[in-house]
Amino acid sequence: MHFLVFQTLNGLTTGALLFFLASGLTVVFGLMRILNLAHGALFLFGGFVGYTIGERTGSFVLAAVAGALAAGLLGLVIQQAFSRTLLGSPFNQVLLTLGIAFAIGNVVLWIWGGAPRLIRPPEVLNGSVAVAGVFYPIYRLFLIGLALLAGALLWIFWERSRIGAVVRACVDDRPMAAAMGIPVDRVFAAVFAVGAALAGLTGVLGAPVLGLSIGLEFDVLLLAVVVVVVGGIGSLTGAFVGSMAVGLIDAFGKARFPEISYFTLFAPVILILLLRPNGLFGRAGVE
Amino acid sequence: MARARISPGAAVVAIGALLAIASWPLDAYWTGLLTQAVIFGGAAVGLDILVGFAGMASLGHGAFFGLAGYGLALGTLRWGVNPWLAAGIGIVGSTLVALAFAPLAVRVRGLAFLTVMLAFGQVVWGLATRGGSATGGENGLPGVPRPSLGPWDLSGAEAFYLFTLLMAVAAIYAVVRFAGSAVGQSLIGVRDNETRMAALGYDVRRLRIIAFVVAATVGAVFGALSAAFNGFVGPGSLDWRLSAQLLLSVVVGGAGSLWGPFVAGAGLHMLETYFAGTTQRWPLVLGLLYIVTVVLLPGGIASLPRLWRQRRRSARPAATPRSRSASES
Repeated sequence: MHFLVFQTLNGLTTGALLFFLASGLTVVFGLMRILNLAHGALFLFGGFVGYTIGERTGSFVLAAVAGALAAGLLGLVIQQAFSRTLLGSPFNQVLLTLGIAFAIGNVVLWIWGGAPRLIRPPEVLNGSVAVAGVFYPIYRLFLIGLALLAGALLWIFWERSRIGAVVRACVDDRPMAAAMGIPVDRVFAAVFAVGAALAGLTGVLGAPVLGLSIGLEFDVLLLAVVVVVVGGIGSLTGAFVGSMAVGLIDAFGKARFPEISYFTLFAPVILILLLRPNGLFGRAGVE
Repeated sequence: MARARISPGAAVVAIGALLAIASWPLDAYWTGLLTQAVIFGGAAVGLDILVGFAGMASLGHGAFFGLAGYGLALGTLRWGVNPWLAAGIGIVGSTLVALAFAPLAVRVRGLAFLTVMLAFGQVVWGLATRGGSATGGENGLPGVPRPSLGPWDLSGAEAFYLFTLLMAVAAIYAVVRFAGSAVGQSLIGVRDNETRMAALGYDVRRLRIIAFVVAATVGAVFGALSAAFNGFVGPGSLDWRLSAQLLLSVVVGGAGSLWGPFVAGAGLHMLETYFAGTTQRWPLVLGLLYIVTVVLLPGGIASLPRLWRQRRRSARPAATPRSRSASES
């Protein structure tokens, strides 16, 4: 019983972080057909900026804001500088965004050095509480709650707000949206920047759990890509369900079958995609 | 506009001969570097059949490269079989895995295919890493022997280089012939317009499977060569970064051109080996290299001759009509 609760909470924590990361990736992909493989690098960059700000000011909130802003700004620069290539052939997208990812990762190493860093969670969220008989870090519970809240807010924004409707219109039919007078280019730029900011924010939020180290950017990127494709490209619901599923499978797989944890994580991915090539919540025609 | 054309197969043999002569003045270090360059160039050529011809971008091709190496290592070190037989086991085994997985993988397209292959590669990587004593786990299997070919001892750098070239010429010659065959050409049709090809009566699914398996087999041949060259296999030969490097070599070289991916695969590997030892900034250089390529040369290295011809033509005076518009895929 304790095992079950503990691993479920672990899985939900990973799932929460994955959702923050995957939501940005999936919306950018759904909107612009851009698979941004630099997403993990933006995550790491935001995390390290947050680390420095956190060390200087001692404030976790400021660290999170700084991480999100820095990554969002960098994302905007990338989008503006390479807007034509980003909308080009998928092969070239992969080449460009992986190139950017390598470059950012190495610059981060240059600036902050190779030693792994940790951001301490805010004082209020330090310590553990008993949940169904197991002691569990408050900060991780906070992350799970935050993901639920963010999921709900994003969903309301996406489905119910005017801006959300504008973005959805661009996703569904770009030429028609442009014809209706929607500034499609500006929507693209804004969404790309927001996606990048979400990645940077995740870097800071995840640092107390995952730490910050060179190479982490690709570990999280692989998982986020898997979540996005399995959930259905462009679908926020899919990103949420996919994140939690991947988080839970990962936690239980590592705990129960450590020898074959990669098998338990990736084999279901293959199975799901073979049964539903467009992902769990994806629609046909979105590739 | 009749230009003298030599057949692609003859070009492969000629380049192989040139590369063989080129190693004459080199020492063992550079010969070794060249050997690895040929290995990665060759693997990229194989992957080009899948990516450039069939239009399926795979982020898990390293699996077939690595599996063949593991086959060779397990055969010689664990089962005590002759290195040639072990290499055969590795290559055939890797091909059989591809043959078993291909019918599943080709059900999906585009990004889903990319992700399925990524997941497949991670599964194989995970099994090798967590394989315990059977696969050597994260430490891999050191001590893979280099065979000798009859009286020809392949343990020296020069000898193994020439042997690698021989195998590479044979494999790439086969790929080039395959690419020019009816099947190879119909793959392009599938890439460009699947519906039409299906309507014309082509078995699209079978064509995709063929491309998948051909690419895997070529990858396996070079994977076995790589393991014999290094005398070692480890999870690094199954890492997704290797798959990414192969895929990016194809794109940087120019998908579908075969020679471009060879140049890019070989060149990138030489640059990496050289710079990774001298500077910590190699990933930055590599990243910038990718970015510059994609911005300045979206068609890859293979588009260089065409661009050069265009420039010469437009530099010529008066009204030479544009012969044809640039239609690169």
